[in-house]
Amino acid sequence: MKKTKTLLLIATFFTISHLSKAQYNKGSKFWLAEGTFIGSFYSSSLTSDVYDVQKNNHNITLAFKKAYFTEKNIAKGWLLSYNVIYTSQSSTTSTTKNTYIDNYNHTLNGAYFIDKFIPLSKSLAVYGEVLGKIGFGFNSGKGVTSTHEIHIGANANVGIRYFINKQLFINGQTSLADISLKSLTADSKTSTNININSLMTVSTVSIGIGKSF
Amino acid sequence: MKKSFITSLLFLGIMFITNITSKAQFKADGQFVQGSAIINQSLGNNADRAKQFSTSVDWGKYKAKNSANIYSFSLAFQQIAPSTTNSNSDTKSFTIGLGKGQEFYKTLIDKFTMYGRVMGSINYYKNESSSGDAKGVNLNLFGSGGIMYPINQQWLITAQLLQVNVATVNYEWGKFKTNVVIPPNAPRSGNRLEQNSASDNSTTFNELKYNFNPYISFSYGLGVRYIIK
Repeated sequence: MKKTKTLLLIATFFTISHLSKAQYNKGSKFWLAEGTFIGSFYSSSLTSDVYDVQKNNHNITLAFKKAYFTEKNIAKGWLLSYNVIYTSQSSTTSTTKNTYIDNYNHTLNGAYFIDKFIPLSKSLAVYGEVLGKIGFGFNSGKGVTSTHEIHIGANANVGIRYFINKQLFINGQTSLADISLKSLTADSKTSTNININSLMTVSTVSIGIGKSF
Repeated sequence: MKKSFITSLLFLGIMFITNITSKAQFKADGQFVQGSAIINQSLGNNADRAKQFSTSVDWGKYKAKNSANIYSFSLAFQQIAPSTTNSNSDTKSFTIGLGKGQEFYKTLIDKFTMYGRVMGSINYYKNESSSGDAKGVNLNLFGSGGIMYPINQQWLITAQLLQVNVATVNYEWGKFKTNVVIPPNAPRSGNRLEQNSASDNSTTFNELKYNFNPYISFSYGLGVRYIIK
């Protein structure tokens, strides 16, 4: 009886151990979708209602990742992200409506990344990530100087992944370091900047949902 | 200062990893009451200096040995004194809120237990400054984490270490006492605008904000929990 219990215990442990690593074995794949949404709708008016102001600001980022485990606990893949910032400002008098700003700023990024996972339990893992990226941005609309930019860069990120079931997971990630080289053209003048952020962005974290298969 | 935050995070991480299989020890169906206080004080000459005091009373019921349902009532007071380079006046803010959520436990070394919370809350606030007043209502989804230590079988000390703000929807309305800021190229049709911009009119405003951009903030707070037998 005691021997049967011991065997059952070992079998259970083996199954859990196997489950905990299945998502990170060579040949496994995953995709991940993330998004951040920030914005406001603002309006004000003098109490006599003769001068109203409307301001709208929206900042939306969408990102999609797909990766393939080339060896145990190591995944390689690509990322696509899109960010749009919309700003508008207008005023209305008793006779006229005037729009001062109505501007869209678009940024598109493509990246290649390598993740190294450390499974902690059957549902939890932490990981480190290095990522190389290239991006393009431009703005359009009224009230601001037209700009175009091209940037290349690299990130070092850390994250945590929690599996809700065998396939679906929630992912949290934060950036430890961000280096980018940016070339910005505004009014036919081009300027080049190098940006380096390290540990300053540790307080922001992106949360996404994904599927492993 | 930043170094100590990172050290705290690393310490928590190591504790969590080395004790991932440990068990928490609370009895299912037990109830508790908790009182907490958090004090924030930002320092520096060039930044706006904020003082914040918040307190909450929580009632909870353990669902299992390692989780509990939580209901929370909170009050907060904040005063922001502007920096020398900022001409804005002092702002005082008062908030009252109700929350509901769930708490999870993981035993660390000895009697220390790590806890994590996921909460949803609704809050009403009122801001006052010499330039105007505002009122608002917001819905929040957030998490927090910290450590608990039992003094005896009924009393525990809780220490919050960090908070994760996940999503917020905020609606605010109010009144400016100063003139509305008119852009330099604003249309100046008729005399009424000029008359109003020169006079001491007040301006009403309303604003809807949404924010799903999770971030971690370090807020330290101490609380006392009493387990009802």
